[in-house]
Amino acid sequence: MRWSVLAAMGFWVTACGPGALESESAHPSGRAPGARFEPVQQAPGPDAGAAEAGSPGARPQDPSRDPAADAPGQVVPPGEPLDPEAPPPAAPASDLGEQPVGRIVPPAPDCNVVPGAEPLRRLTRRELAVTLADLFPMLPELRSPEFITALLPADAEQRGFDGLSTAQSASPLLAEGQWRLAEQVATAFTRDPEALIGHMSCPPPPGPAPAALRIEGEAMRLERAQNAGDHAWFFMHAVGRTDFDVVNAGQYRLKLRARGTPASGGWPIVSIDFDGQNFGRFAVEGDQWRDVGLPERAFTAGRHSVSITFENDTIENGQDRDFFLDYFELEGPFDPNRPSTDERLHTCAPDFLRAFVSRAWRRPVEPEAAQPILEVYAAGRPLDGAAGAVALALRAALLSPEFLFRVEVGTPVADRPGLFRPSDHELASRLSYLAWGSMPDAELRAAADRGELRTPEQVSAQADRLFADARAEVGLRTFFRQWLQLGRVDTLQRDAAVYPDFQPEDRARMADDTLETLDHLVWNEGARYEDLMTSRMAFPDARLAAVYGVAPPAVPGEPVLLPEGRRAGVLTHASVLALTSKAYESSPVHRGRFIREQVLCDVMPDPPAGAMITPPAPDPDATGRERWSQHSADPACSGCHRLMDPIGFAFEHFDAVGRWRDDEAGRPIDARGEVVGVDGMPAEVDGPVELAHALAETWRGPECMARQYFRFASGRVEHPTDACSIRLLTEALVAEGGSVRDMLIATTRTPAFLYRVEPEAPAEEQP
Amino acid sequence: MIGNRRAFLKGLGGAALALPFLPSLHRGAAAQGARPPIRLVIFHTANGQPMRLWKPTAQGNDFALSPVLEPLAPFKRKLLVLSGLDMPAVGGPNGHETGTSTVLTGAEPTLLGAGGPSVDQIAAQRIGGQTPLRSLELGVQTVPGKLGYVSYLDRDQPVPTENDPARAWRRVFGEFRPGAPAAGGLDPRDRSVLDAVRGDYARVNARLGAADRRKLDAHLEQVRELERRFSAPIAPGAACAVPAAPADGISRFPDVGRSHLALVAAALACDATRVASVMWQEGSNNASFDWADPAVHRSHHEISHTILTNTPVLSTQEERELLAINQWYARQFAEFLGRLDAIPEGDGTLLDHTVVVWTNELSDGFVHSRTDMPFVVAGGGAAGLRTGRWMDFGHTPHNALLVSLLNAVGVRDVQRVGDFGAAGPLPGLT
Repeated sequence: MRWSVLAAMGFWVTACGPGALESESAHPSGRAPGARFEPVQQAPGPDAGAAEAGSPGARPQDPSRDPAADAPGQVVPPGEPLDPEAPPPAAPASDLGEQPVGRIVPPAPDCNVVPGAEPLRRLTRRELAVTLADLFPMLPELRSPEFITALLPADAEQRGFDGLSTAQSASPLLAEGQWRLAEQVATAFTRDPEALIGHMSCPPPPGPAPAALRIEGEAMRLERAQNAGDHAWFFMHAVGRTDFDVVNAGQYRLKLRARGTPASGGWPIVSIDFDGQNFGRFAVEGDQWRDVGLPERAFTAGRHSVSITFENDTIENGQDRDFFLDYFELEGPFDPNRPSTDERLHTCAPDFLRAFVSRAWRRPVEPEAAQPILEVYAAGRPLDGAAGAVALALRAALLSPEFLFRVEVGTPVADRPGLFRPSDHELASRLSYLAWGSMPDAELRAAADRGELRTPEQVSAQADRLFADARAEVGLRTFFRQWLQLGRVDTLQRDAAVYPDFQPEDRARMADDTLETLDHLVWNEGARYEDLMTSRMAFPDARLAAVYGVAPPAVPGEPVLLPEGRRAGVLTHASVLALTSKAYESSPVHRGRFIREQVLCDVMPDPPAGAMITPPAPDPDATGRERWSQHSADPACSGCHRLMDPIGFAFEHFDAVGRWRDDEAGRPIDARGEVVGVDGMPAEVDGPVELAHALAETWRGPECMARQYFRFASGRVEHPTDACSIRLLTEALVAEGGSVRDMLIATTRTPAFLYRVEPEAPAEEQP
Repeated sequence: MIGNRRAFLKGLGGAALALPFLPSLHRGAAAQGARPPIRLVIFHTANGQPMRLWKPTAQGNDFALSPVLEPLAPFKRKLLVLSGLDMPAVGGPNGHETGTSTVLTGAEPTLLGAGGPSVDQIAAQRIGGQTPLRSLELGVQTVPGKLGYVSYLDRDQPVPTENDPARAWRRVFGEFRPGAPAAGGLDPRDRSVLDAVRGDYARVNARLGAADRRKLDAHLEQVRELERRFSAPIAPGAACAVPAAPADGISRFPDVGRSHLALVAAALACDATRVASVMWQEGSNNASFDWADPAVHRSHHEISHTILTNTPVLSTQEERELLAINQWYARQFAEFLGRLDAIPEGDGTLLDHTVVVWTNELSDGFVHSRTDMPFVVAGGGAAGLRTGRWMDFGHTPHNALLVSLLNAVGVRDVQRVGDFGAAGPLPGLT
């Protein structure tokens, strides 16, 4: 919906009015007229058993919410999700101070509704990088993050996430980047034709494989020559002899690795005999080690002898002509009719390319679809040979929408127009991109091939496996980084006059501290939501430990416990505290806003157009609380600011680099905070620890985290009918015996994961 | 892997050299001695202006440059300072986002950004087809997102910026350096890849629903654009001098900006593109501007919102800081105009054949105001712009300015851009 519709109704001005405190997480549960979601077998909650046979025909749209009841005059086109970015409509004023406290579990949503529409997703830049690295494990350069960031523009961010499909648009820069990316990958893959034979697993040519036999000079029977350790020194008319065994009869290539010293301008000449017959005389012209190529020779199988004679030893004009032999080598047998590298590549290119597109496009590709790629190969071979033609075909395959997009066609669900069940291979991709941000591995592909991704148990079993893999940690880190906006820490600037200790090098550690803590809690401790919000664990280095006021870890990389009573959970980490501060002071407004938006999923509008946006001036004689309280008393501002600032006040013990302080402006910090209208939160909290623990006890907190993960996982902002999916995730986060890890796996049991609703065509532009 | 086209391009060598003036290349208007084309350049800065210090005094020919615009004095005769233009779009909750989405589109924003194509992209579609790049979008430390895009191909289709100077140079003068395509036009290798990719889009599209098809079509359109570029004849202008490639890793704000502006000037002179934009960091960014003035150590955004009393009158200190920042921008703008004005072209200079517009997403930053916007148009004399004046338009939607810009670069049949105001250009500019 267009902003103008919302704004015309005065939404932004009234959104923070008294009582308008419902968060976007408080969508009413669905009433589901005529749109039951029967195909979902594992719908949770008490209503799950009530699923009836699907009633025919309702086009999936928003059955859960009557727009007219929310906002008179607001028109929600069919199929377009209600924008959760819109602030909720005014609700009856709630009486501050009487908000219920604790985990108030709302009624289970109706799960007999279709999930929200899921637009076609393009691989994000990060997904593309990881997918290419998995597709070309023999190209280590693909594992460098710079490889792809140097080629492709950054993905547009929406809601802090860079993978929302609605924000993905085409541009010349992107198309050029994709073009060059495909070209560079294909060129790297085919650069060395001999290696390419291996990359493409071309079968060996008929007959015995050539092998090399090396005879070290010092290992020969030497006459008038000296064993010089790693070579033989022929200093008189010397001879070296040895016997050797040829296993396969045939044509052999011969060479010496040797050097010489000249006398009177003449270089050493050696004469070579095989089996007592002279093979030829050869000059060794150079005093650096070199390969001296000899003519090829045929050998029968069996024992043979070789002798190498130094013929022209002399000392003239003070110059001593000597011969030095590192080794003598035979390589073969070579079939004179043996196919060339190019011919071998050509023989195996079609099979390789067909197999390649099936892997790259993440599905068994039918011959007709692979044919154009083979035609590119055929057109390229006369121009550039087989290796060059393979590169050309790879470029076409990597520029195909089947590679760059997560194309899903699926199988229509009977009587439910627009609803699809992803195919086995599409589901495999859903699993691998969810857990790893990459293409399915061989095992997952095999499961899809066998049709073993059909039952919830089969899907869960694969999800268990994928999330147990180390690659899942990388995927979850991406989520945490975007949810908690930790990327902003990378560019933090602090006013050196106020925070002289702050160093730009500290920034990476601040973000890593939080990410490592989350890693540890999730993967090693089986953390639930409340643990993320209350654990005192952290992974600081010595400098950050000083900020925290704790001893540095005894062993670098080990966790430490943050001071009890002062810190609890990731919201009290230096990273979050600093990224919600200004350069020269803490900001109760930004901290309150962060809690509202990132942690509670509320949406705080910016000040209305024309409002005076004037932060209070720094004042050494007043605390931040005093200055902000006065500022936000302005009735034009207080509607919104009373929802944010008093939450931020609870964090006033922390300065703009996240360091604890007991007083400010000569007065003790007052860290009493007020939480207006958040279900489950007490109206008043004293200090960050109390706030964190209260938050951990709510339903709203985990529900918001589940909602954020849903956005990350599905690449779209949730539709009200996704309440069922989000409910599943939330329950996993808070249940006895539940965990964040359970939430990840629970994602694969949600209707939104197991089914796809195709978006309707966007309405044409309004005149 | 290197086709004839590339081989030819590589043969031109590396650092600064004038392109050989090969007769076979002279196919474009610029090279044939016909009238040089008119180009469009957007110079966008953020966070509004201290309007009291921006607006000139005494309208008309005798106007006096304001403190912010003082650095433009050498080019005063080639300036049109415009005020009284409003951006009526209501937009979303974030004033910076709204202004950014509407300033070049004149359209009511959507949830995802702009509600229509931006003026530079309309121009690129119409006049960009004769150059290797239809348009060139450069950014100075911008973020990917609504705040970071001023250019839109169409509704909800932002054009991301290239922010890295070395990569930007390679885009213009590296792989896609002005040269000629191989004698047969498109390299047969590239042709065969493009044919397959186009066919694949069609095959996949046939299996998708309408909404997804639309998304793929937008991407396919850019594949076609690659094809056009690979096949396009190139006609570097007489004044084309390929600048030396910038070093890798330039990242300091002023260095990036200067490099970008030098690249734009060279790209115009070489007729590598006729449409360009440089976006200097998005609104509400947190960069400190200590290079503009050592006294400025808070972020531009923060200063733009900082006043000590509850009246919209800036205190001396904040005024000084805002002035320092925007004068710094004015100096960059002037330096760029100087580059263009130093290159003779036709009867005048490259500047006379280029319409350069300094835009901002806000007027007064501290209230996120989008009325009485601060626009400066420079150059464009050869397009008939009667410069050397300050003009005020009361409260006219700025859409008319966007129409004027298109008319100036030769797109005369477009009479309406965006959602607001009456059809037609601003009266009196020409």
